[in-house]
Amino acid sequence: MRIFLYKVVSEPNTFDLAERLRHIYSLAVDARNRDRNLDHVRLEELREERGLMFADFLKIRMHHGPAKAGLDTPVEGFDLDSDEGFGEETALIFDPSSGHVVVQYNHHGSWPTAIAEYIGLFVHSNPVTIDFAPKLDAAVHAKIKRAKIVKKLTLAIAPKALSDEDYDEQASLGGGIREIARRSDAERLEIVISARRSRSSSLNIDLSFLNQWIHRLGGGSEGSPILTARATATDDERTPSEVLDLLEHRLTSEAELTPGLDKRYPRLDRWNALERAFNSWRHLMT
Amino acid sequence: MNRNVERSYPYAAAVTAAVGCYYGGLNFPKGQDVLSASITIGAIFTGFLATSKSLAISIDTPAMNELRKTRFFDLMVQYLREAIYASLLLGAFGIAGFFHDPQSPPRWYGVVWVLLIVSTFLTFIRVTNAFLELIQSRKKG
Repeated sequence: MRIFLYKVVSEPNTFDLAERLRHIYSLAVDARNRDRNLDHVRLEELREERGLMFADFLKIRMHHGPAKAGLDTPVEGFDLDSDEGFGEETALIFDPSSGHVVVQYNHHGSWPTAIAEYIGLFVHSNPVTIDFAPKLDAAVHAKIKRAKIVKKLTLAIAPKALSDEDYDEQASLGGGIREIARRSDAERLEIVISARRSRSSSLNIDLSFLNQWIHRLGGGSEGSPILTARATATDDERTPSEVLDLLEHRLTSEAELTPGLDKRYPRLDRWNALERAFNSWRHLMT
Repeated sequence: MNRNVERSYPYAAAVTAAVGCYYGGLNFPKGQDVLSASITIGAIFTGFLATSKSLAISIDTPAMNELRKTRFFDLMVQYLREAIYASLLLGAFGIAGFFHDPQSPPRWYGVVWVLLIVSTFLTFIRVTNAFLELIQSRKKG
């Protein structure tokens, strides 16, 4: 299970997130649901211990989902009522004193942006803009600066579509149409540059310069044409190379959890893993 | 090409040609033939452009749909409009020529005629090029 650290940014900044969580949890279960696209999101559980708030967010996938299958039994669907769906759980710890949240990554569950929106817009009469800003990892940044031997570089780019921005830049009609004509129909272009397989070979690329360039192009932010940028690199030949994400050096931690008999990660285990990660990052929460 | 250039070059070229003809002492052909020819050209161009207009509205290709999502589509419609009006004007100007003695057209008539025919041709070429590019992009996808 992957865990990320975020700083809570709210507008207005006098907003009390802890109070909002308590308020949501004080309501009946069905009153906590909020629609999100075809699904529903709700705060399932909230506990306050050791000055931290332990929350578990549930996403009910109403549209479609998995089946039940055994090695010697045919695949079959789950028996669901029309108002039932598949539950996906995302654990979160909020530290009111520092204003940080530690969030479990559940690909099918609620993502941090969805949770922030749920909390912010829960009270219709008092909408608040909440943003969970990812904490960056200074250690990865330092590694990128040090890494001189680059073995492999992977870049994924979203080809540009013709837009009104081109119009604003005084592009002519002929130029605009040629732009469309030249474009491939690809949604994603992936470029992989790798060095030969021998131990001594490497690519002649200055990673920290490339990193700056990517960020100048808006890499890592929303709407950027650069979708991924990863380098496999090391700082000297004796140490094995590792994959460095040039787009987001986000602080992340990995926790090994054992699923229960129902194939779910138990809530308490997830909270404990989050709290361990939280404690290891405590010195970074400024 | 910059859009300001694309916007103005048919008219800039037409004005230049007209001014050149005025000072160069253009010898405008006498007789009705040139007037009939102007009317025919104007009518053919207007007809062709009106067809293009309905094509622009109905064509359903990825390239066209992408163009439609942006303001470039409005720009194309604008070019089409200018080309249609230029050809209509040329035709109307040819008809108007019959009301004067075709054997002795006044000097300004020839100058305005040059202005109109050059802008008609160039606005026509401008929008036709756009259409041809669109057709080419269609072949690909």
